[in-house]
Amino acid sequence: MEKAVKRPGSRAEKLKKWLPLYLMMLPGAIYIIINNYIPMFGMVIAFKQVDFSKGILGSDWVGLKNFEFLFATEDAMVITRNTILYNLAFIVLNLFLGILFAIFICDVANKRLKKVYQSAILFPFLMSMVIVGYIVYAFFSMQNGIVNKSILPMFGQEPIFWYNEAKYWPAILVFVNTWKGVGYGCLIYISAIGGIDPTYYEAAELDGAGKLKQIWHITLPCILPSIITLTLLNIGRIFYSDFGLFYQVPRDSGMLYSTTNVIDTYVYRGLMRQGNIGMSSAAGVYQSIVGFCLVLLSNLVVRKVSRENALF
Amino acid sequence: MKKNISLLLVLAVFISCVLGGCGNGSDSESGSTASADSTVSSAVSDAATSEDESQEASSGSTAGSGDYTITMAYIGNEQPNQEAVFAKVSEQMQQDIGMSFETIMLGFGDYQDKLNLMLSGGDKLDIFPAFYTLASSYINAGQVVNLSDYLEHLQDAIDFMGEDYALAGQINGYIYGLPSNKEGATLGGIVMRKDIVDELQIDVDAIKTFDDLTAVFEQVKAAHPEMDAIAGTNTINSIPEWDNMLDYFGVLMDRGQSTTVENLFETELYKSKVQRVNDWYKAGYIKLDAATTTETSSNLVKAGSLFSFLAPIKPGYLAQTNVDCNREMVTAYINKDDGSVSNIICTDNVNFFNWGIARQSEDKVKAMQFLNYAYSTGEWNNLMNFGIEGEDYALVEGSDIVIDYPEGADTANCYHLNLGWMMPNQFTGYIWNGYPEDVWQQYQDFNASATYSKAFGFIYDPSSLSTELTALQSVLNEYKRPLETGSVSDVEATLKEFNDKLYAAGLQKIMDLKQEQLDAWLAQQ
Repeated sequence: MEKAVKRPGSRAEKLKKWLPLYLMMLPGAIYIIINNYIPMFGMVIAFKQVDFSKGILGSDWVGLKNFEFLFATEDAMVITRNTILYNLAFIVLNLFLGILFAIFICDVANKRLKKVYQSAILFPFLMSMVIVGYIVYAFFSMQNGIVNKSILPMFGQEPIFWYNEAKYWPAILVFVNTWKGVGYGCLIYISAIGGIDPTYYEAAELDGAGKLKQIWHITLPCILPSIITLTLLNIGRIFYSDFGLFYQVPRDSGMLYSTTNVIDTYVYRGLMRQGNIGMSSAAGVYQSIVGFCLVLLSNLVVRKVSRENALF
Repeated sequence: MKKNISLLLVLAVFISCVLGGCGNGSDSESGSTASADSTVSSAVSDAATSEDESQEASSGSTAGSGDYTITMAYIGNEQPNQEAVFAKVSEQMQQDIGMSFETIMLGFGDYQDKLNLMLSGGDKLDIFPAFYTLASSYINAGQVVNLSDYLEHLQDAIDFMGEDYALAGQINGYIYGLPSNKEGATLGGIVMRKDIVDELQIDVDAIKTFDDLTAVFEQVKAAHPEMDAIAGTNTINSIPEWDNMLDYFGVLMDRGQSTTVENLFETELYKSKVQRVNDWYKAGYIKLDAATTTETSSNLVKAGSLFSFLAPIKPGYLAQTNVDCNREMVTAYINKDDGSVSNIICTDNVNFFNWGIARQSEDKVKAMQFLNYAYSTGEWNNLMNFGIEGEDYALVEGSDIVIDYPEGADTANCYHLNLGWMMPNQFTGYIWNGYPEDVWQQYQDFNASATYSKAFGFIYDPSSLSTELTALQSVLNEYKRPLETGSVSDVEATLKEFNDKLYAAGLQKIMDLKQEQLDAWLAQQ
């Protein structure tokens, strides 16, 4: 009779060993299933003409009709272009500056000051975009803004109509987003850099490597996994935009649309009046599917380049 | 081992999806709605539901059991004592029609979102506010009841308002709601600060047209350069010379007397109006940030940075605006450029705000009876609007219609919703102090003297062209506000751009659709 004998490494033993961990995971897993996976069923709404008297399941299928408005006009191409270009700029800048500031902060000798800098760089991230919108307004308001009233006259320049001309806004929005968002990535890189074994640095110094060489050959390769993970996650959201940034900061000024209109704001403005759930869902589905494909693609690329750094 | 666990997980997800999908289709959570997270409207919900237990019907029990509770959603803000007021309303209703009353309050900032959720979620709801702009989507999504099936229960309401008016809330015969009884026509005019008018000795009576205003602004600007002479908002719409026909895509010119749908933004009239506002902006009369400001004109006047603004002026407006601006104001009606008065009633003057019955109402006949009651009963309107007699308001001495706060009380401790335009039938109720005693008669005269647009009563159904409508709406948002606040640098070039984009987005299709539906509707009249 072999029933009673429990061999080491058997199923039952393994289960007993890992059970506490699975139990700890359970609440989180249930939450994610309910909040993220079950609603996926709602994707069908994008393909239906919802009639509430028939319910969602009973409504008619309309194929891809709800997606048409995203591609119908020239505006549609503008919003796609804007969304992608802005997000690319955000990814590149936040990456570069995040790592730069992380390296700076990690090199600060004074422990207290280090904490102060960390908090300071994270603080804008925690601010609501509505407040940021008003701060920008305080700067760039055409009648009373600090720039028009104090800074430009200091240089002898005429006041500029900031909210009436679209060309300034790519720079302004990129700056605002970087100011607000760099703290998040920076903190992750700081903790990654903190985890690097100091003996590497000691060995490098003995070999006569200067600071820059150390950063290039030790720091960067060691935090490469974090960089790749964060970047892949950002690429997955490349079709999404921070609604607050593109709606609140330009204060919904029509003259700025050519450079500040992105998919989220276009959908919001176009469909607010109609209340058409099918079309709004179609926009969401479009964004998610593109993001999903891009993540798979990027991961494939990373796999080819350096297998162990890929997400999956 | 790993493979088995992942298989199990996938299975679990599948099963929960299937389960989530089955069951009440109308109640399952819809997945991604608008992909835009609206940080615009406040996320904090203000909706307060006051529970009113139905009281035992003491005396005078009329027809119907005392069991049915009407749930009504309304838009307003939190008032002191509102629990007591709603309890009184419920009591009154129990006595009169044998139903109890429950309210759901929606805040001004987020009522649209809340309403969408309630209607699609199937919450308990009988009566809700239906704006005419959303009527078409309510009808197509099956969220509102067609009142034409229940007209026999609405006889009192129809008699009071007149059939034309009462049945104006309809598209293609589908009556989606009863309009609230309010002033229909609006005469536009300018509202100015009295102290500056006196200081500069401006002759208010001589102000009749927009060009007269230009001279006034010049004076004001010279004397008070720190102040904006006029707010940039409402510059074009305050003097309505066309019928908007629900949105601005194709209008009826000549005060709605023409029956050909035209593109407003290509007309000479529109261009000249926009050009004038543009001249004002360039001369510095209009706040430079007009295109992006979210501050109300009355607040700006209150703060002392604005001299005047344009507004629709109805009888009794001055009293209200004096309170809003915290200063004494004077008004002057503005006429069209040729001096004639522009006083038109279009569909949107009347059925801007309606009360509709939600599809999920459990007893539609009772809901209809309630509506009928609300439209014809003064006590109900008074209770909802002004609170309890004696506590929140009292009749002014010597009058049996005019009311004011009771001795020693004021806004801070009295229920004072004061949203007459929203009430089903404010004409049956009392008049607040400050408005003329015969204000109801004045409203009716006002309405009677107006020119009715030929398309009065007609709302077109754009649901077959929702793609074009979305694109057009986006173009409209982009150009309309900048043009009408004067913020563009070159009016001609911008107008051309605007029109090109409109046509590229499908304006002609919408106009043809409107014309077709209008012709069919006219033929039936």
